Amino acid sequence: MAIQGKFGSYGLSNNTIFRKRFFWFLVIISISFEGIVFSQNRKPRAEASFSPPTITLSNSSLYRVVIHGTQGTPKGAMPTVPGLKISNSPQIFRSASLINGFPSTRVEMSFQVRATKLGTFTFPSWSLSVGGSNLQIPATTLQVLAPSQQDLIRQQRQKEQEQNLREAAFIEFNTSRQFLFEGETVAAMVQLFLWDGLAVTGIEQAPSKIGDNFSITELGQPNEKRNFSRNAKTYTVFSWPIGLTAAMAGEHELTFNTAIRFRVSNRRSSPSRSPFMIDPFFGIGREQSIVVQGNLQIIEVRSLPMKGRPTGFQGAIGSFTAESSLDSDRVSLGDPVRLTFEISGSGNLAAIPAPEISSPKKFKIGPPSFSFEGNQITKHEGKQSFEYIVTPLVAGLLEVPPIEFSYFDPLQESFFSASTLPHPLQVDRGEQWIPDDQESDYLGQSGDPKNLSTSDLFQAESEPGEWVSILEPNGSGVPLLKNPIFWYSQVIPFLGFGCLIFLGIKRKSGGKAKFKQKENSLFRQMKDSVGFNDASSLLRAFRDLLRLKISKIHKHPNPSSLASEELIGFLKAGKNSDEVISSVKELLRSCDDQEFAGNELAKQPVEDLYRKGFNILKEIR
Amino acid sequence: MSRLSLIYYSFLMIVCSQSGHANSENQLFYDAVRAEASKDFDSAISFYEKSAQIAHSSNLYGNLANLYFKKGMFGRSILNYRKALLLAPENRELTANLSFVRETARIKSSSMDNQSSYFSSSSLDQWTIFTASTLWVGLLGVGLLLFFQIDPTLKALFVLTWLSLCSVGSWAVIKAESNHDLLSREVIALSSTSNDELNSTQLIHLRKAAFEGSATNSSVLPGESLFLDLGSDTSSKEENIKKHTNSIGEVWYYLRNFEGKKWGWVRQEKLGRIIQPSKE
Repeated sequence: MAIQGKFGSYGLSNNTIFRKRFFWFLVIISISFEGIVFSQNRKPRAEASFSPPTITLSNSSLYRVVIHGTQGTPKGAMPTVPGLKISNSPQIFRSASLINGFPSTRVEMSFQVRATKLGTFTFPSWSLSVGGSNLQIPATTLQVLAPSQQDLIRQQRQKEQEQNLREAAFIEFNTSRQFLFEGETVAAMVQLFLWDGLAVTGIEQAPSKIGDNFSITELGQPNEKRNFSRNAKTYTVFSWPIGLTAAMAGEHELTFNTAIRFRVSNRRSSPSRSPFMIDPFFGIGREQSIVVQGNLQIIEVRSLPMKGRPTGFQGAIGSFTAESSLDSDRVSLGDPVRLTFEISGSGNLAAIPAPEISSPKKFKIGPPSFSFEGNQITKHEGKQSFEYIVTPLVAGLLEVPPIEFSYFDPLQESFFSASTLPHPLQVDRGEQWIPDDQESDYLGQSGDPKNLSTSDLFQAESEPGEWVSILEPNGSGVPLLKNPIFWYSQVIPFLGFGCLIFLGIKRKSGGKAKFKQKENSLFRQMKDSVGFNDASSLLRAFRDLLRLKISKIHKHPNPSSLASEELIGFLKAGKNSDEVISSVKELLRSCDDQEFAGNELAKQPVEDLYRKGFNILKEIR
Repeated sequence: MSRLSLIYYSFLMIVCSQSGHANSENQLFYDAVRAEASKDFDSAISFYEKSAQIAHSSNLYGNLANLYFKKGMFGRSILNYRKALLLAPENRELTANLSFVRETARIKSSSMDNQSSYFSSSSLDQWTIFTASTLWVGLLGVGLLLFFQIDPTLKALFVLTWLSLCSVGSWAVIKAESNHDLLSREVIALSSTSNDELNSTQLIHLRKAAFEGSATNSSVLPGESLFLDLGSDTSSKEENIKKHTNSIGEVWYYLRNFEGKKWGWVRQEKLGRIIQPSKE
């Protein structure tokens, strides 16, 4: 029992402690819940401020909006304030904390603000919606003061750095001419200046042209020049000679740009203020790429004058001299010679087309080949050659015609025409391979000796003529006989023939049936006539039957057109007996009499007539 | 106007820069003409041959034949004239030139050359079309006779004429087809080296067996026409051509002349085929 009592008192004491503790637990829990519910039920409120509220013109401030009591995403349109530039992308910060034992949530939005002028700016009150409820953001004020001395120093330093950067790498474009003519090509130079203090690691690309109204030749490898002084700095200069061609008349902009890579020092760690100076102690810095832009130039491009423009002008602009030469002054008939026409000087040599040579009947002149000697990069100065293959067509002392060449000189601003000298060419008759008296033997069967000149033999053709891909007599490679398409195409006429036969047979069998039908009908009419005692109808039916039968035997196309005499004639031709013929004659006469003379035969019994007629129809051939 | 001039100058520059660099059959041809004009015949031949590997033209083969003649290589000259005449059969200059080269090389015209051009290989397609047209027009005419009743004499005349034309057409097709077959198997005898060919008396031996030391059946001059002989198998003509490849890789062909009086084995290098077999 004692044991039980002890146990019993001990159990009671523990129960009391447990109840007390449980009570306090419930109190804390309920307070916490109430706090949460309280904080949830609290209406959100908003604050707005500038941080800092006063700035100088060169500095920026933060426009900060804090919304307490929510973590929802705010939505709304921010007003604009003249004189203030506010960034569109705010930084949003959400937080939740316990303040004085109460939980607190909030959203903070920060906008970067810059002022463009001095003064006091009031950012007006504006509304936001958060979680379905509207919030009014209070107005706030930012004061913008004039730049301080420190700001001015900083700005000046920045300008100096920009100037340094501009002077550290820049592009210059030089041309000898103040203005150009449309289509004119001039030599020009594109130069990239790189300050030696700039740790350039590479030029990413050759300068590229910006300006669609000009074309330039390809930029090759640049010429490099070191220790070039300018702006109290030492530069390395990369030069690209180019040929610049103006395409359109007018005033056009032209500039060049390129991209370079260089190393910049770490400004925070290096004591050197220059961003370009590499300080080995603080590391070699990082690599950066920048675009180097040349100065924009406006170049005037003039149209070529129309006055004095020669008819043969083909667009050559520059200062040129022209000459031609023939590689041989004596050839055999049919042997080709080379006529070389050379244009030397400076100008748009690459754009000059081959001059046309008036080709008399004495020569065959092939298309020329082009070659250029001179500055291959700019193609502005040098010698452009056109080589023609001239084949004399007749023997004798001939004259290769002179070549006319017109150009416009941009310096003298006028057109000039040049003409080469004519070249004498002695053309021998060559080998007389076929004696005139034997010519017909050589020509074989297909030749016509009257028209073929022996002097034309073995003449080299300067034109290739028509090219074919397959060397076959019929050109296609596969004879028609072995071409499956040819055999398949035979199906078309075969089908036509089959259709024609089918229609013909059908027509013929249709005609036979019709004939039989008509024959039966006439026989029935004859029989009916006997029943009605109608001799006239019987004789008409007989005559029609006779016509049908005779036309069938003699294949007459139109039975109804046969007269009595014709029927008798057919019967005679068909080797019928005289008895049959006379009977037919008699019946036909009776028929005619009945037709034209009324009822003279009415006395004859109709049955006799029917029998007689039926027998005749069976016997005739 | 200004846009047009921009396009014009750009186009002009492109054309001018490109025109000299195209490596086409035309460019090779013109290079060859220039080389020929400079009397550099070997280079000219080389350019022409390269051009002929790309495309074919009668002027190309004519010029090549002229050059080979000037070099004294009559076999190759005749071979190229024949090729040129395949493409321009009506060219009388080429025909006359070929006759002259044959005369110079002392080669008699074969019986095949004397055949009428009406049944030549090039006329095969025309004869095929004529025969097929005649056949079907006649048959259609016969079909139409079912619809009209015409005098039997006229009918008989029509049918007779039709059958005659069909017979003539069929015979012409067979004849032209035979000529076409012969032409496709025709080869021109060449000397294996150009130096040999300079000697016009150099003969090409038709041997009894397909090896160099074999006895000679007969001989032909460079430039003479020969025909590849066919085996008994009639499946494919190219595969059926009698040839032999020996242990050292030499290819020998069995040939006959047109009259069939000369026959024997000749090495591939001593032959030039007028129509190259299509590579299937």
